[in-house]
Amino acid sequence: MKSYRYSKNWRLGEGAPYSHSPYRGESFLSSYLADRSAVLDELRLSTDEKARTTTFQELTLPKVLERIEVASDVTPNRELMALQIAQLVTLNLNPDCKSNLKSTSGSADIQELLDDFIYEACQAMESGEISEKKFGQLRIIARIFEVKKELYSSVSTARKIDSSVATAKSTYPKFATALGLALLLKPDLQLLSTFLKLNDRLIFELRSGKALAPESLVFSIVAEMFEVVSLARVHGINLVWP
Amino acid sequence: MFGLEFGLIGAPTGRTLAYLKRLYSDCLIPSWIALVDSDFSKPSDEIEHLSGRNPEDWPEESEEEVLRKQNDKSSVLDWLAKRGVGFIALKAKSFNDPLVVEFVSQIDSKYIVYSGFPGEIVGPNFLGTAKKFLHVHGGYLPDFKGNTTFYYSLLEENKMGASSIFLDSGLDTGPIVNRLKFPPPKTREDIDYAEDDRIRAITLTNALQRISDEGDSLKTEENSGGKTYYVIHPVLKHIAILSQQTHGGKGVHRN
Repeated sequence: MKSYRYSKNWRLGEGAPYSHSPYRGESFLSSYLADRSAVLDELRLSTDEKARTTTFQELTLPKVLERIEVASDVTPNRELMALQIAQLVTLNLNPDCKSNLKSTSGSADIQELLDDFIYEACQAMESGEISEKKFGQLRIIARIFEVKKELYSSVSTARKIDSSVATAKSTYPKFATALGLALLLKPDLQLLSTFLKLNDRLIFELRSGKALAPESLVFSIVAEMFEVVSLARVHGINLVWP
Repeated sequence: MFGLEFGLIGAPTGRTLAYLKRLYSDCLIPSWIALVDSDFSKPSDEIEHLSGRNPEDWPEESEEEVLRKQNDKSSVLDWLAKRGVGFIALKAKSFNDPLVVEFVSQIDSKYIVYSGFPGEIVGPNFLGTAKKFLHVHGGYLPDFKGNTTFYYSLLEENKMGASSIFLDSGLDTGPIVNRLKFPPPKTREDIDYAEDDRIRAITLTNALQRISDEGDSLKTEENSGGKTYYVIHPVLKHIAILSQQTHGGKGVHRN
């Protein structure tokens, strides 16, 4: 079985390595899962000390787990999922933030938009509903990432990509969290594709020793693998959850 | 009866070859054919045909192989030569090159079939030549705009689609001449090479026939809204190819 290589050769600024991707047979999906599992094993060793109890963990994490368990016949590794808290603590989520693309003067701060989305998505774990407007804002951020292969610190209210503002790699972990939560609430193929690319990028950074928040990857990877395994099953492909 | 006068301008790619084969097979013969390429003296190397071999044995760096195979210049030129079909060689790297723009602006055809380089976006000078450029997008518009939409639509609804549009300055936003849906192919591994081109070629000839039949009374369809997709991640592409779904229906919802 050949190794999964999309998390190993992110060619920043040279265009995505995803165009014209060749078909490599069924074993490609196994190599993808094996690669992601290996990263989770590494993270399990390095992040368990950072987990701590907060209201956020008590209220939101069980709902996330419940959603995954109800929607599938697999039980994700609770120990790993518990590490989600490390991510949310690391991200310094600000639930008071209420960013709005239309309410600010010309542009909105991406960090704030993501904070806002994550907060609302966590709330929505209870009701299962989140507004289409919030999804629309996340799609705009995803579009920037797809087109420019980067994120910038702010996004124009005119929905134009402004490359003149500073890039903001620090937003990637939050973006991954937002995508993971969004997909748990509502399947979306385009966002899942972006999520896979973003996680490839974050794993590449981790392996290069440049990860911004290594522990933040746990939730992102588990949520992504869950989405992929679920989608594969809908299509009659039985992937084995590692 | 087909009475439409039209030309074809294309890059020497597999898609252009598929269009030509279908057009000649259906007796929809273009008045002229122009090929755009930077060097007509050096046909591409013999492309190793990968299908039929175990995918695990394919070369490690084969995105380039995929691209080369799609742009197999020699096969287009060979096909034309074998049939004694002449073409106009426009030596340029891009359809936005002034040489190409000048050629198009001088040519006396209202309708021109466009088969460009993969990923190239034509600019205002090319589009400003006041011709009707007929382009076939590999997705059912306006629902599936953007890139690799064949795979997204297979995952979403287990169908493939294609739409003929008149090019405008937007991405897949031109008015729709016709759009068709197709069942998934029996062999999905060859979508990039064979099925993509086959479906687009069928949609193209269908559109030309419609333009011929309806002439100036042709009514195009609105192409606003829909969703824009970006290059699909290889994991999702593999699920689309390996899918066991045999009937249509939503392919993404849980519960």
